[in-house]
Amino acid sequence: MVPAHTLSWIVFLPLGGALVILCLAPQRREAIKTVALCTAALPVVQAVLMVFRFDPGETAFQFVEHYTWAPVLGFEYFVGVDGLSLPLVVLATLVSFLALLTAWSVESGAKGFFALALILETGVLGVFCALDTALLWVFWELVLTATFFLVSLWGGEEGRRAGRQFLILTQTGALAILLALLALRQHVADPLDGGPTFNLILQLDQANHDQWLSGTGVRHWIFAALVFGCGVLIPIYPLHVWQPRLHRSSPVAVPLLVAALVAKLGFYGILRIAWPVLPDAAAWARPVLMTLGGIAAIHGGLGALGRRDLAVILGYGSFSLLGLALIGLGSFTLSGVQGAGLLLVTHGLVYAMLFAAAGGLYDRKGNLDLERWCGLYKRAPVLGALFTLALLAAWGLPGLAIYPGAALTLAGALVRHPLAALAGAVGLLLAAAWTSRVILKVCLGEPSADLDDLPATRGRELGALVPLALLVLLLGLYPRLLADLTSTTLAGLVRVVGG
Amino acid sequence: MGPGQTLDVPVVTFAAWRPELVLAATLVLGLLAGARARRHVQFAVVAGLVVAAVLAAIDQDGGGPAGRPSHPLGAHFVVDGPAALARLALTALAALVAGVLPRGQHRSATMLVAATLGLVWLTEATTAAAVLLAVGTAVVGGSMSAWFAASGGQRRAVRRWHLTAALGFAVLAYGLALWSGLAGTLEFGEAAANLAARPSLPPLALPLVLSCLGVGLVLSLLGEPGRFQDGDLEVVPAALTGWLTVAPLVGLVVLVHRLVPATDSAAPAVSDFMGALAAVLVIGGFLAAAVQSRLQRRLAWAAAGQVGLALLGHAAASSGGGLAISMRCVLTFAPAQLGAVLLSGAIAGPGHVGLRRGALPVLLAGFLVSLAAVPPLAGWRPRFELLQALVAGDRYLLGGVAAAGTLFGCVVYLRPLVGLWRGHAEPPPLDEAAPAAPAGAGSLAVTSLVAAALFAIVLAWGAGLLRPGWYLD
Repeated sequence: MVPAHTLSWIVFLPLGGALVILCLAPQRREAIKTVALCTAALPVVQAVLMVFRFDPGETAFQFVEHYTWAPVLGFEYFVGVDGLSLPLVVLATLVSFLALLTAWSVESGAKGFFALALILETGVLGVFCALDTALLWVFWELVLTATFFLVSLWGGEEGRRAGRQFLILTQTGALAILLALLALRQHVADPLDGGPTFNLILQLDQANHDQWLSGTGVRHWIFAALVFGCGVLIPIYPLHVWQPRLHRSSPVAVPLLVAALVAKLGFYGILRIAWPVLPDAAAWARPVLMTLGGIAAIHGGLGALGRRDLAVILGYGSFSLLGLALIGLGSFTLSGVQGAGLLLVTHGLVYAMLFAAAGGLYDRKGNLDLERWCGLYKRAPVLGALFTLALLAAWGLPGLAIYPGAALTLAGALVRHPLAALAGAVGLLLAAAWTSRVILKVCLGEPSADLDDLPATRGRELGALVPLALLVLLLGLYPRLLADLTSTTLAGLVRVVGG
Repeated sequence: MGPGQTLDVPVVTFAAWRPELVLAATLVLGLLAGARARRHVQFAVVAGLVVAAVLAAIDQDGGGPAGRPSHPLGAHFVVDGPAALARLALTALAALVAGVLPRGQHRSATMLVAATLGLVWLTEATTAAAVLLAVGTAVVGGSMSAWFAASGGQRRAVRRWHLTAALGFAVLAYGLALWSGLAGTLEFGEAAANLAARPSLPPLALPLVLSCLGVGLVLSLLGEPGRFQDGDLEVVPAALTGWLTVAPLVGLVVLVHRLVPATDSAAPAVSDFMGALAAVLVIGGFLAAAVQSRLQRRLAWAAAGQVGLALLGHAAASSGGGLAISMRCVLTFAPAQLGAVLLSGAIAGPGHVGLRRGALPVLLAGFLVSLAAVPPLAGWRPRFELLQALVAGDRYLLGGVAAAGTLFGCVVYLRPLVGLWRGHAEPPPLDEAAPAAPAGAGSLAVTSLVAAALFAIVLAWGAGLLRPGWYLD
């Protein structure tokens, strides 16, 4: 049974948990973590229940809630989900829960950490559910602010610099998005009263656009502003400079949230607003997007290959795979876009698993230096096996979660832009190289002497990793489970952009 | 308008000047009784300010559209909607600040009343002479309040401000004289007609006069914004610094509103001038704030950037809509700024080591996040409205300035929080005996209460439960 106002419950439960945590004494760490975990667990249950009630063949938004919020500013509280946002909502609830489980070892400033992580979850879920562009921007800002504090406060001296970079780049992007959304609002008329509107569904209808907004140059500028704002979060090359530093400096739960969730906001913004509202501008920018995707796929793969710090390697690997998704998106073909859609979700699951496993390693030895880890498989076989599985999935091995999305993406890209497809394939080859290197260095071989006292796999680690491993296997063997949810919406999107 | 005459919202003429009457009576009482019975005098001054604030709140309907109640000081002053709103904000802020001043500061509290009265008059002024009287009263009141609050060795900073204020007052006086010459009248209302009747104005005349007025007002009322923190030492109590960085802005925004219609005949030039001035203030204020290492100085300089953003509201829209945005910018800024300055004093002040834990830093974080215009606290709504108005008016260049200001604001306000919270000091075990109350625990408690009240306002405005100045829409 799904309760009324399901989406609102899912979005705001974590925020409620954050407020409860703020009222607890900082010494009550166990209570803080328990509250955080419970308030992150409930949305997972609700989101999964929602999947069973969702009609995948329906093109309209479902579970819609629509209320007036601030009429003078033209805001509405308008939320709903479709085949694009529902899988991301499920992913966000699941990954947030697992990230909190991974962060169980955070002791210093636990109160602030868990409260901010829950606020971040509310922001991410809000973005995925919002159908009013002003509301979407409010949640977007919430995500950026919470991430800034998580990076700056728990990331050591390096984190401070990473936070500053993140703040400047992402806030610049957020302001570009805001200006673009305001321009759209001003030049899209509500057919009922003729007034400007933030209503996304009305903005999607080209008949509501006024003469000013029909100008080609204007549409290109607005599209560029939206892609810039979203591209900072994906991140698109060369806007990725904040990412390696963040991965190097923060507790593993933070890169986990950033790679698995925050990066998705960028893609979602492009797919939800920029593409369907300005399809002609999207067609104009298609070659640029595919080129940037190709550069990211190769640059990320090379970056991962040349690093020693495991968190940084995973960060570059994530960057490379998202580049591949960008190639699929830019192909404008049904298979390319379907592949990108699958990659968005499976990338979140696989990299959540990788970062969770890396968090387990860090908890044991306090470092993620590749040269100081060897023979994990012999000392902690369960953790080693799960880590290997995740690495193989990141490689794109058939039968595991990444493969269907990657294959569809390459097939779609090949039709439109063979060079971009080649770049994507090179990215996958590089992924095979760096994942093999990590498996050989960390998991296999004879254990080094300082790993003699390595603790065995803990229950909460298994609690985080086993569900993810099952999902990685399930979506690898039976991708239709996810594709059926997204296909109607993504096919509609491809039709809009004339693919 | 005669007594008892009704507007759209019923209003009695007498009501228009009750708050000023109470303020004047409080001032006289404070001056007469200032030499003795200190504690009771200070209490009476605070009580007077509270009563004035309550009366100002009751009289919020003074700006009904059908007419304006007359003022006891004649046609030089008028209480319309913006003035009534500003009066409420000014008296409420002064009551809060006087309430948290340490004991024995009765002279400072009394002069704060004078400053408040001056600023209230500034919001009501309709002639050049009234502006001079109002600014003079506000400057003397504010600077003397700071003088009495500062200890002997630290009065150098206040003396420097006296000089700056005197210079600013002189520039303002000359500016007003030039203005009167240009418009042929002291009255702002008549000036519009006179200027429109003139065949042409010398090209640089209006910008020159407006520059004089702007420089004069800024120097006399604001001076050097970060003046009252000297290294780690606070020259005057943090509350007073907060008031001095907030209250003049409220007065200035309303005065600008009254001046702008008077220059309607040269509206494009004035609008451009306002836009340029606002851009300079936004960029300059926030950049100057970004290089300050002390939180209070940073907040004080950033206030100049906030003024710039408020002025952008004037440049953004028609004078009515522009005023509403500007007023909301200032009214949402005021409680957050005052709260942040108050708490920065309480947290960093001597004897309060270790207060990084507990509710106060959370409140400080809330105020700074609101100042940075991050949703869902109060500051983001007027900023959103401002950007919306600029885009709607196709003022994309100014929109870029506002966006840049917002970005700088984020950096200026959010970075100190990282410094405050980093390190995550280990909390003491729960069963450990509570430490003895630090020195000044009483005033700290009052500060906390005031901060909590201010935060409640910030939260309610942010969530849309309250809408400041709704009748200005």
